[in-house]
Amino acid sequence: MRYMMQSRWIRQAALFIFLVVLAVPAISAGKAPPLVSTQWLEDHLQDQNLLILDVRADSNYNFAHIPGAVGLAYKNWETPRDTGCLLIAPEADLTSRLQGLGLNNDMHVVVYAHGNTASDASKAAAVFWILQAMGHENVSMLNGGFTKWTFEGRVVDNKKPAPSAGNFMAKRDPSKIATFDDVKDAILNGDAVFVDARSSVQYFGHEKRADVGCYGHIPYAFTLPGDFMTNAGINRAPATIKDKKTLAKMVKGIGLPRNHNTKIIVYCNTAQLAGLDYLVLHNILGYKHVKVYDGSMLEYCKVKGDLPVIRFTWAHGR
Amino acid sequence: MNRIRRSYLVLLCTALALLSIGPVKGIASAKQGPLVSVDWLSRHMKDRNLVILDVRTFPKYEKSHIPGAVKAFGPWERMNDKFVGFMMPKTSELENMLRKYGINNKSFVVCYDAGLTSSDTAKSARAVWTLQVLGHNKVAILDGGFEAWGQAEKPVTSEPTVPWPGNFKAHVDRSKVATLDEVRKVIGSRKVFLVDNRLPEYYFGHEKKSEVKRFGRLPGSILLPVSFVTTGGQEFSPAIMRPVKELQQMALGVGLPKDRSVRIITYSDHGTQAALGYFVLHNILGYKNVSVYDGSIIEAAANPKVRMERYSWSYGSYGGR
Repeated sequence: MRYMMQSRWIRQAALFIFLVVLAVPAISAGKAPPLVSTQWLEDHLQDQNLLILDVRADSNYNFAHIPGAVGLAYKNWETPRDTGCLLIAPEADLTSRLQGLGLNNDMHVVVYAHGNTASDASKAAAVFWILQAMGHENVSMLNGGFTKWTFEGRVVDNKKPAPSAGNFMAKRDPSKIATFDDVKDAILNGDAVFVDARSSVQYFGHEKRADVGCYGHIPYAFTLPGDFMTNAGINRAPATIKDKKTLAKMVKGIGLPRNHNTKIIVYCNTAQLAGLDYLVLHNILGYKHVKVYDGSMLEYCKVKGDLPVIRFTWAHGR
Repeated sequence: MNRIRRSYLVLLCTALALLSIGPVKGIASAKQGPLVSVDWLSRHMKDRNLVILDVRTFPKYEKSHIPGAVKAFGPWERMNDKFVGFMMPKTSELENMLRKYGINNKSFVVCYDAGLTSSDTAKSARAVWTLQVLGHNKVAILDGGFEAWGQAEKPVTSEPTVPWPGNFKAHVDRSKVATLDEVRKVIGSRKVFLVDNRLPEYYFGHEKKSEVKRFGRLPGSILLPVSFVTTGGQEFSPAIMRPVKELQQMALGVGLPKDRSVRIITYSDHGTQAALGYFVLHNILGYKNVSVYDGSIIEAAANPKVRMERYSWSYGSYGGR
């Protein structure tokens, strides 16, 4: 009897090890997990196929960064246009910059920013989204960012790697980027739901960002503040992403349809905070059709014409 | 004929008399309020029966205040005997305090605060609510508080006011105060509306005050953050109350019915913001049956028998189609 139990235990352990072995190569084979821990990153610093990407300001990067990381500050990813909007940088710009940083198509990218606030984390998350929207699916975000890395006393340096040019080609994937026309269609035809990643204060229309032209939210939007996605500020925790169970509970609690085929358009003011909701909905919780509205409220208020904006209510519009 | 002519004369004289004292030195009207403007107060400062209460902290009062205003920091709330929650002090204690402030049952009381944010306005609202619980309804808040007064360059002084003691007598109206027992009975009821006046992140349970034991809200409550009811802090604006039309839109927009007779209980962390919720719903919008849950979340969360909920908007009904 005892022998049988032991053997069953051994069999289960063997199965477990087998599954783990199976799972590990999956990371390098293009199915990167959305988040990697600081410990995982330290263990993999020497990986040839890993590109560590620092999106903090240049001055921060130059002062100290994770060993081997290359730097491309967030401002180069979403760039201001003549129309006054902030949009994803042109394909050609991203291609040349990322090739210069040594990005190959088969590489696993780990992106990080500061990790003190949800806003910090959202920079990394927005770049995570842009890389996926430019055809590079094999990307993870460093959970807790540079803040957690340094809190834990891990090594930093200020050496700039000199990579040989990569072969990455940026190509927009329309299934991940919503344009104003997509937004308009969704409002008029109702085939997608909106998720507003700004604070509930802006969603409600009590306040707005100074350069945004209107108060309130896009009709039929759910309020799911990007701030709620991280543990930042709770007992001085760095901005790590909340655990999956909590995230699932919150997304159910705001009333988002549970069908993972639901078409979702996430937006905020400039498509930065929206990155957090995108990462959570698409890559952690498994909603298959999530787009970020690149122009977000900054553009919507300028070009909306007769389309409504809803204010002073939590309920849906009209 | 004579009699008619004489009565005309009397009428004329009365009218003239009213006109001459009316707007300038009139007796502060009970119908004024619930908000008075800086302009109104500056014209009525010398009115008989007007008492101005400054509910800011002592140092602020001592530095400068509206001429004639009484230093009235309180206490409007006291730690309760179980050391959870801040409650309205005893009636006798409040009566004494209000008499010291120079309040009579005939007085028209105008409260003002720093006037920078809605949290400031909430301090005035707490004083107004307390007076109304004590049966005194001739009360108003100075719209925009001391900040609006200062921005309008009205006179200030550092000379403390020593009021002539009043003879205020309370006629307590318990219907404006909700207790934990009552709140526990109505949780889950569709007839009574529990209104959470804190910020969305507290309601959602993403954050909490450190002195509050548990995250989240009372089950089924509606979210109406009182930080939304004034425009304090926006483009350097003092905490001016939003127009009635907008407040009305908000009340319906967060899920309150149009019916003004429904039972409403407001709450917040300590019961201060909840007093502003009460003020907006009862005094401005005219809901008749509103009370403040004085113990508020700090008391409820400390009691393990009280159910709380978290990580959702009410009934999942916010947003979406």
